[in-house]
Amino acid sequence: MAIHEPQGNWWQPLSKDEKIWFILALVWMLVSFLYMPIQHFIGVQNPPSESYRVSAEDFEALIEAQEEKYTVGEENGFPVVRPNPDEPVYLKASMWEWTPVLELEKDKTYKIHLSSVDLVHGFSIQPINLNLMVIPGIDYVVNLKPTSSGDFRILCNEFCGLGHHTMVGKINVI
Amino acid sequence: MSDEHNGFHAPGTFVLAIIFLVTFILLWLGHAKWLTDIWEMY
Amino acid sequence: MSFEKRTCEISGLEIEKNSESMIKLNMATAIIFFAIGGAAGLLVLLTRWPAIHLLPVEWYYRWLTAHGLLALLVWIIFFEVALVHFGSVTLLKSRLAVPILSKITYGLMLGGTLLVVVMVLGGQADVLFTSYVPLQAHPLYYLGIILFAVGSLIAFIHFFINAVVAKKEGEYKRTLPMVSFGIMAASIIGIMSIAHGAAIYIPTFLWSLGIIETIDPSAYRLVWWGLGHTSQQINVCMMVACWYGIAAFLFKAKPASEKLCRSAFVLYILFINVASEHHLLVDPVFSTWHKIVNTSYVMHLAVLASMIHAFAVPASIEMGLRKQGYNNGLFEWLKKAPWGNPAFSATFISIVLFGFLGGTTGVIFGTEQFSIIRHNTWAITGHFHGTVVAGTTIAFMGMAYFLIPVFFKRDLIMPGVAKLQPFVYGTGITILSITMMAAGTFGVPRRHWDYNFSDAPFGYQFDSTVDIFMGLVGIGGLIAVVGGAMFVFVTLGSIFKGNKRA
Repeated sequence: MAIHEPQGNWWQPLSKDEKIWFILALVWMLVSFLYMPIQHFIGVQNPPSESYRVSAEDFEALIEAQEEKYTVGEENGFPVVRPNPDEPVYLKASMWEWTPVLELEKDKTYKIHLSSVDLVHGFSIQPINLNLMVIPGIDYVVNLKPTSSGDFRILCNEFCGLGHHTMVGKINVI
Repeated sequence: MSDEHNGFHAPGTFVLAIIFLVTFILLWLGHAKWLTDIWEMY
Repeated sequence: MSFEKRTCEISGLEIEKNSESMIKLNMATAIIFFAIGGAAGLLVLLTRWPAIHLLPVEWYYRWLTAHGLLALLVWIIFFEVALVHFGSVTLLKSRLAVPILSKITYGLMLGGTLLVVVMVLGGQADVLFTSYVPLQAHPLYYLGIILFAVGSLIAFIHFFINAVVAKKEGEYKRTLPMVSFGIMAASIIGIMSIAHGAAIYIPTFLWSLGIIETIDPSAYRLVWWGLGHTSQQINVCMMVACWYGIAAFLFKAKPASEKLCRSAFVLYILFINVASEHHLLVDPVFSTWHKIVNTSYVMHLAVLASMIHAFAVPASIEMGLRKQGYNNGLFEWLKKAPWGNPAFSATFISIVLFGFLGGTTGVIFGTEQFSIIRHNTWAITGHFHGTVVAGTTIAFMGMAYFLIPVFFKRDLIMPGVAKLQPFVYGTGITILSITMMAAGTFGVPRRHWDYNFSDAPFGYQFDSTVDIFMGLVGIGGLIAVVGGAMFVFVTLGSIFKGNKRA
């Protein structure tokens, strides 16, 4: 009984059903585990792992330079930037905005540099539901290829103060 | 080794456990499919 | 050695006086905080229910913080301190080695809790449960958390002092009983977890005082989750120990293989620590291989342990009931099981729901690639309501139904309500958890005041099916609140007003 000290030799072989269950559970865990490294070789959706340190000032400067070069319009007070797919793209999170609005081409791969200039934010593209963390002081390099076109929203899904729920940005894919 | 360690001691639980494992795998496969619906990223 | 004790007529346990009063105190305190934490949960629920949207934004986040702290930390850890005493004194037929330590534990934990609650509801700590830097709270908030943690650390250390004393005094010869073994595993994990807590909350406290200039946000997340997730494994261990305990008390059940079950507890101890990094799968900074090895390889070994217990416990119940003669077919034992005994029904519901709701989704959401489509959505909230509420909380409810008559020497009041309670609560949490996960699948964020984004520069409407899920979360939540209230009435009512036994 589990509430008394076991008597005699309790280091006994398993019963048949328990043994089968243990093997099935082990095999399934191995499959689930091996999927992850294998998916990095055969899958096309993987968490990016390239990142660098960047200061808030340097990142702001990169955002401004990009705006000067590639702004094509304005939407609700935000510059609309249509970047060149061959160059790095910058997207800034701050309380409580995503700047700028990005205009991307479908099926082109962009190198998007994500960073925050104040708190931790959560980068969440809807309605496709793609989620990443944005950390202040860290430049997260995301190779992203939009495979559907239309208007997309970027929500913030990490609490960042009382205006958190108003932090919505936009991506247009054409 | 005594008889105690041969055969099924808890066949009912074993069936429940298999139902659990099948649910688990189906849910997992569902996620593997839903993952391919998002944009390409690495 | 002789000390003051009595023999319980229900369980046959020998109950030592000093530990008895501490178990009673911690259990009653836990239930009171469960009630307050549940009420906070109701306010949060009614705010996220779009039809009601009760609280203004700042109060939503404050009550959300309070709900997390009280329901996840305070209720559960006070109950666990009671279990630490139960496992290291009562089950070993021993005595409380250092009674003053138990009192210090209780004082620090209660003081810390009150400080934290005052700070949060006073608007001095709008940082949520995780308090990710550079979001900053009042220094007293961090101090409150530190006091609470130190208190529980002393309790976990006290387990080992008690166990050593019991062995020296010859109360057991070779090894602990299985339930105590599980509580010991929980205590080891508890000490590990609080070491991480100290490593992160002490610098953060100094930072809030201006003594340290900056805390690296990424390093904070890494170390904080060493506390945040590892502490959940304390809960899992304690929950599994309760499963084995109830199975043994009610059915004289014996684990089919002590060898396998004890090894599974060892797997928890060895592997849960780094596995907690599965919270960082879509973070920058950590490399792919770091994530795969730490979060995934190691997490699967901890999950393997849960799958072992998930089989072993019902199997031991089945074997116990088959011995009582319910031997026909595959499921006669299950049909004839004592479903009217809330200690049993709560335990069985906890096993099933923990596995199907919390366990499966935990492994899936903790898979590196799948994290991309689930991280920080409401699916995560749904998942941990499947583990911590449907699993740990319901298991503790079952244990409370069993322990209250044993320690308070009073009968349960309203037995009809007690009989229904685990089913009502389990149903509510099941609906809540599943529909939260469904809404999260469509991208609804967790910790979010307004899913209509009415004040945002760009509006956004979720798929219309999400509205149905949001409503169902509200309904499931209300059913759970009713079930939780039933639990509070029955247990507190029994503690204070139940019929006294001789």
